[in-house]
Amino acid sequence: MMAIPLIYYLLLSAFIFCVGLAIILIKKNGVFVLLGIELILNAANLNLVAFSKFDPTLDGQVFAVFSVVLAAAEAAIALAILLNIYKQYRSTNLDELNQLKN
Amino acid sequence: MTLNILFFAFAAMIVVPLIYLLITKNIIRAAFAFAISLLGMAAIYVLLNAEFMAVVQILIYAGGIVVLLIFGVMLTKRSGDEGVFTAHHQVIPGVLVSLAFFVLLTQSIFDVNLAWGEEVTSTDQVKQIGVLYLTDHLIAFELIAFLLLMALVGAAFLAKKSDQ
Amino acid sequence: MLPLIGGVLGYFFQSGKSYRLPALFIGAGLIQALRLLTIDPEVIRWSWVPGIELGIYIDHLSAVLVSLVYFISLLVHIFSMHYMCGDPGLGRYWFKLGFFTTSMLGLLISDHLLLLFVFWEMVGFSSYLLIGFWFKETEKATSARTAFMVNRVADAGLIIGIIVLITMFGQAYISELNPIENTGWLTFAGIALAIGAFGKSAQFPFFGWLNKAMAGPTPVSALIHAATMVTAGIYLLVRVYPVLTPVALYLVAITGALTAFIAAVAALFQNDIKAVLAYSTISQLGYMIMGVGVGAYESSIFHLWTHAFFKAGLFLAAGNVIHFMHKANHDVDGQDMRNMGGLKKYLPFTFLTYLICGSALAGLPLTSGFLSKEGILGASLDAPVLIVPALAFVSALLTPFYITRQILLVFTGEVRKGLHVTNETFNEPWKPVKMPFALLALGSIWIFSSFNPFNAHGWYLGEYVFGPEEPVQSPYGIIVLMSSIVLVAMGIGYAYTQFKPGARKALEYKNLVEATGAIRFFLSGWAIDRVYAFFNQGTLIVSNFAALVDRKVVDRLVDGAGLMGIILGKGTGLFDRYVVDGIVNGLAGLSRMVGRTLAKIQAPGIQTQLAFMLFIMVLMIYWYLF
Repeated sequence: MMAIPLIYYLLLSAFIFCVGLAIILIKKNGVFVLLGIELILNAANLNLVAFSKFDPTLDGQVFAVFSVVLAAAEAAIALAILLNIYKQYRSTNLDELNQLKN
Repeated sequence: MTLNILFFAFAAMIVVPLIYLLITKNIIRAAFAFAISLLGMAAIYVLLNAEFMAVVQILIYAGGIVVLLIFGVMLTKRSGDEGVFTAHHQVIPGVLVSLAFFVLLTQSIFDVNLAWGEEVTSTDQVKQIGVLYLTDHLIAFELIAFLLLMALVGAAFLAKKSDQ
Repeated sequence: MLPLIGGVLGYFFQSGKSYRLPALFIGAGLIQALRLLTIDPEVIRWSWVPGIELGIYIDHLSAVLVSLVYFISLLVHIFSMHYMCGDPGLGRYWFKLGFFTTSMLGLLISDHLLLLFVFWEMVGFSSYLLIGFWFKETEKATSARTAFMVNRVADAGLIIGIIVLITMFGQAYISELNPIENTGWLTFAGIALAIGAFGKSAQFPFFGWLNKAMAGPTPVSALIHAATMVTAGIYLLVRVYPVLTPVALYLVAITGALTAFIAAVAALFQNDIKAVLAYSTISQLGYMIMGVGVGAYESSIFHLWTHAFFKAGLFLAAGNVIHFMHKANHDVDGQDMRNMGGLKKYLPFTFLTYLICGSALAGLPLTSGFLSKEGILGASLDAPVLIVPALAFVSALLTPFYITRQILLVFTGEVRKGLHVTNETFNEPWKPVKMPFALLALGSIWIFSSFNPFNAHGWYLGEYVFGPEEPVQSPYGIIVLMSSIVLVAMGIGYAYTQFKPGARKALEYKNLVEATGAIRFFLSGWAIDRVYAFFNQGTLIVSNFAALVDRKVVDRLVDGAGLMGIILGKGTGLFDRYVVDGIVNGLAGLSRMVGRTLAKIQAPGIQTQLAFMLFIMVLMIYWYLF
């Protein structure tokens, strides 16, 4: 079985990361930005798992699972906050959120 | 060789939806593209012999987070006007910065010259991970479980408060 | 750092007795600085970003000036306890004062030119804060802004000079500056650096700001004008002296002499007690700059040192007078000399201080000012063109004239405006505050600078700072000595005949105050005064002109134009109004444009900010990696 070089995974992960970054920077909608953050987390996970393939202790995967759980928690909270924001401003456009208090 | 072909196929399965994700303005379609790329990532995990991760990925991301996102979109939809569409702004600087970052990352990846050892191919990974969770990483495991619980309670509380 | 800590503490513990804290910290710093005097020149470097090392450099010159700054700052702190007592923004005041002192000290010890520039800007900014301390009064806030902007124009010159020096010649460290081959670029860099120094030291054509800086609290004026901010320019010029080309030095000398003259003329006609001092400072700074320009930088530093003492003394004393005027009569402008007169009776101690420091300023023999000024005058004779010594000697005649006029008008004669001295405690400040006065006045006497009252090169610290110097036997030595004494005597004598108690001009000065609208009467009174006109036709013309400008300004104030007019001598008023303001306005437009562009970092939203942040981050990573 011919192994796939680690560098492929790293490049793929870098690409995912940068797409996530671009989405965060470009999109106006809060939900979209959240999605970008998830992508960045995924890129990190991919790196972790790829590295753990060459590590007999499997710690990388354990850590990746933690980060998935964190991502889930973060998504839940962020969406709840977005809902509240929507209630307040009738919009999820991040640009329009310019007050801490009204 | 087959492995290589498989890798590239799955990588394409990730990359193409991501590019679509970047271009599209429709949030619902974006969410589905996201789901497809998540499935691709799960496949990559399988290639990496990380079956447990693959399952977790499908369950939590594809099953949980994407659904959550779609709910989020639906709930915050502005009735009538632009709907599930979003606008772009500062496209050029955003893309440029990301591209610069990408170049930076690839450059450093090539420069680092990672020396890695033998691939480890273990068979009963799920069991091993389970043992690790309940031995070495027990405290972290409990903490993350507690954190998840709190997050969900908190999310429910926030969402509920918004109803009143 | 100690002053800053003291200032911060003073800010947080504004109540009760805690106002002594900042002064305590300054005192501790002074002890530190005195310890610095004993060590050998020292260079400390640390790396900042790869390839660039920042550093501090302490040699004897720095050590002496650091001690000086600490000393004056301490006295100003002590005096401020009295002067600023009860001001609601007192905590803020301590903080700004500490910030300012810290920046100034940083400026004096920094080695890398860029570091120097950073502190230079910090000094400018903190002085802006201090001048605009009473920012609720629009006029004062505007003055602070103008002062800041004029400084900024000159700072552009400084940064250009620094960049040229670093990129073209690779000389980034003050301790390692050495003469290099004379090229056009070097001249350019020298002139640019000199422009920066002109700005900070309020030289022609940038001197307008120093007068506006008078809007700040008087102790601040003492700090800015005496020991610190304005001397930064001199310090810079002395430091970069090795790389200044003859052309640049020529320019420096001419500018210095010109400024000394213009400011001295302007000082003759001021009515504001602080404005006279401001112009005299500009004039003295002109001397120092000129001294550097003709190569006598030792004398310049000496003059800087003595000037710090007597000018701080003058300002603190003036502050005391203003304080007194405010308390004694709320209705009149406490800074206007037309309202003063006869204050000797109420403020004997202040009068004494003022007299000693004033004679030092005038350059009376047996004072410190005489020594240092004579050194510069002697050196000016070596200047390549005749105009430099000519202007210098004329200014040396004018200086005693205006300071005598001021002393006579303020302290002698009759009280011009009704003063309601209800409580005797108003008269003199409480005891600890007398200490600064006494110290500064003592420092203005020759014995504390040089044992021989007639040897301009006998400064105690001269050898310490610049190493043993070969005795220069100037061929003009005795001529300079005699002529400066004669000039001083002439100036004082003439002023005394004009403004002595009961003299016509002193009385007319009073008239002016009783009805500012009656300037016409004032003018006609002069027109009749044939005798006076016969004796000094020239002065009359200039005076008439000044009076005209004065009326214009008064009218404008009445009209609510709110423009801070500066009564300058011939032509300088026009110059200031059009050229300097034009530059300022142009710069304002430019900075607005740049500001709009850069404001995008702040304005639209979190994502744009993020984009900029990432952009900078990527750049930095590139910088570090490759």
